[in-house]
Amino acid sequence: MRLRPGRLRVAGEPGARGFAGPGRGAAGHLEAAPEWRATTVQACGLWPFAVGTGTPMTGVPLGRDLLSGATLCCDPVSWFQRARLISTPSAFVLGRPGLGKSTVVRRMALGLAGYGVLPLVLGDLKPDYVDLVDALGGQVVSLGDGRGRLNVLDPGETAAAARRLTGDARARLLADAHGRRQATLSGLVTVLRGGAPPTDREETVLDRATRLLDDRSGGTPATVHDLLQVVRDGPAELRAVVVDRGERRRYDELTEALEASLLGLVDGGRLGRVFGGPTTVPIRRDRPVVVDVSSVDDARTDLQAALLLATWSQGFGAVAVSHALADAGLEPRRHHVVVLDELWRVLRAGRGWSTGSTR
Amino acid sequence: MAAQARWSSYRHDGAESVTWAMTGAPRGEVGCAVLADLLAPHPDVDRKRVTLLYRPLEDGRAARAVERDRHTADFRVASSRRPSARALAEQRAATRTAEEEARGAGLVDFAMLVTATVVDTPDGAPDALAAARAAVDTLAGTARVQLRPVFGAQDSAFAAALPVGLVLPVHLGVPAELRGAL
Repeated sequence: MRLRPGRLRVAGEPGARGFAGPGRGAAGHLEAAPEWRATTVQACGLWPFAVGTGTPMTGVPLGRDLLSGATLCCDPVSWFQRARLISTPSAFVLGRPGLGKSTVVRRMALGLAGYGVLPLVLGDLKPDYVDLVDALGGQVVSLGDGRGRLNVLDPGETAAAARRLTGDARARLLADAHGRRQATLSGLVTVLRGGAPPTDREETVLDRATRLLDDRSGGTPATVHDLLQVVRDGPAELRAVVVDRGERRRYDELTEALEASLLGLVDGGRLGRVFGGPTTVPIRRDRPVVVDVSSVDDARTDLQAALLLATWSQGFGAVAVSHALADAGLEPRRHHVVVLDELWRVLRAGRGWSTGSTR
Repeated sequence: MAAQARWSSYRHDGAESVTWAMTGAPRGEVGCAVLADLLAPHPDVDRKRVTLLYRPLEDGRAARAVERDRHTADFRVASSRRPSARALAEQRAATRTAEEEARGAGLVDFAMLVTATVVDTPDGAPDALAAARAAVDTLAGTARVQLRPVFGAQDSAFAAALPVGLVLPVHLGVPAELRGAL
């Protein structure tokens, strides 16, 4: 019900100083504060902003300010969207071991889930987030030796989404997915080579070979096995980009290193038990997701880095699909908060990540 | 919503407030952090508001005002064979103000209001209010200002300290312009 001004009447007419009577607000006596005269050189000495102000009550309640005891609300999405305090919706949590970095992020993720933002934990090494996402009714994807596989050539939901789109939007989504897959492949090769990225020629071979596989496969996504087979077969398109001058022997020599690296990704290879087959559980875009990679031993830094890299790629792919469908008006707009925990492990594992991994 | 002004406090909705006015500006030099303790949150005060009210003087009036202040101070010193230390200090201050004004500084009348609010609990309110009064009295010392509760006008002083643009001097029986000219 809305109060209309005309209906809200107070009995009697107000006097010059307000409504008379106890509790009705009449001011009996006015007293202006005593004023002091100073030049602007001196008056600025009483600086009224010597202490900081409070924070806006916008976002996930994190706790209390240690100095003032006031409630502190903070999360990157609300501070960007509603409070307009930051110019990009991102946060970087830095702290000494055991002081609660993951706890803060967990709290933000939980609070944001309450605001309708979907937490997407891409690579949980501890696991810190599995119970949280499980309690939120989300999807727990386990990856690791004998736990679950991830096919980096599988475009996930991109193919299905692309069929629902038309024109530019479809082309953009497919190009985006292809670029991401390409970056992941070359990232995995980099990990296998201990930090050395593939050469220009090898990048081109990978690009052309994956496109060939896209044309061939009639629905079931290709795996790294198929990729290796195409490189071994050496069809005319590949031989052209390798510049083998028409000699098969030259082609074999030039692709030998790439073949050796790809062997590390198929069954029997160093990372083959995780990357060598079809994806066991695809990442969903419509609910909280955590990718649990905690079963990987901490000593296997190469597998950890490769898994995190591939997981990010798949996760950002799912977000891109969600945005493309929302832009086209086919699905409701969803916001995701992507958690990249233990970022330092990937940064330590090899160079070239800044271009390869962060979308 | 009802509100009730008392002699030395103001009760409004579910809380009780006391408002002080500055009756003595800091003497001598102060650093920019002099108000820090007064401004910072205090555990005994649920809400504390420190309002600084500035009324800049127009340039033309400012020059006349500082000259008049200087003449008054000079006259006080000259009229006594052995002028008091206070008169001499006032003369120094007036001379310095006049010099600063001549060098281009503006002139400003300033006042300060401090409001402490405690949440009204059925049993503990008087104690909480007493604690808040004691806290602000102590903080006034650290800020090197003298504060005095605005007795008998707690409601209007409370309103004047709010950021709503209420300028009390223009509502008085004798308007500010007239009193300034006296």
